[in-house]
Amino acid sequence: MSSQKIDLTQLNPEQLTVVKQQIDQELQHFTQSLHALNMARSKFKECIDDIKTVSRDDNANQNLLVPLSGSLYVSGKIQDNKKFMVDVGTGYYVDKSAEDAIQFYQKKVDKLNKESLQIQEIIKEKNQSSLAIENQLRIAAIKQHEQMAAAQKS
Amino acid sequence: MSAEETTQKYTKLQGELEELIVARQKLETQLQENKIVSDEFSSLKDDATVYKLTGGVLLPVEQFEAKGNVEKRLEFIEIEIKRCETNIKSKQQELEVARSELMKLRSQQQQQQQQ
Repeated sequence: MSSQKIDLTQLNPEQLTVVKQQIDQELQHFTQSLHALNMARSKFKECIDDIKTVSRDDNANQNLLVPLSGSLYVSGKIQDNKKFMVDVGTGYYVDKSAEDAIQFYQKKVDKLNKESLQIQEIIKEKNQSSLAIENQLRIAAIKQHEQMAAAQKS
Repeated sequence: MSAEETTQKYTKLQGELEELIVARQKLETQLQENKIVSDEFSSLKDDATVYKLTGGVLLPVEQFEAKGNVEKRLEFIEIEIKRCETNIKSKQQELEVARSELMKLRSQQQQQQQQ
């Protein structure tokens, strides 16, 4: 993102409004991204929990219902509750043991955690900029008001 | 060219530039996804079975084949990104030209009105 520094006191109210609009837009964009990241993260966490549950020894010969459609099921049995097929993206799937599968998802969760923190940092920064500009706008408005009052008096 | 035509051309160019930028973002998403897959493949155990989702079925594929496929796709996407970026640059230049033309016409109009 733009790292150039702008002296807010040098800008007129019109410019300030434009800059504020821009920053607010960016802020919205980042907030949306953060939301999407958190959604993805909770999905991966769910996967980890699912693997842990299914691979438990007392679930080895568990019957389960296999969904054929949204409302149609047949009963089935897990052949091997220690083996999972993981979607690695772009249509590829890989056979993995329970441990490897958990590790795979954990890595993804960790990565998302890191990115989520980064975005939170950016959002904080943008929020501060937005507030600073708002402040500057208020000061400019007061100044204008005073000038107008002074002009009327004289 | 009349001011109206120039304005139309300018908005058209703006729309085209926006389309290109969307395409560029899409390519970036694909690049990132393929990179993740490539990373995953490189840390795969030699005996791990890889499947490819083709239509409605999972077909087992050889690991080296899958790896080669993803590498090729990465190369292709990178070329596409380069192409897209040159397009964006030339479109931005076109837009810049149209913008200055528009400004010139507007100031001419203003002068005429003042006279």
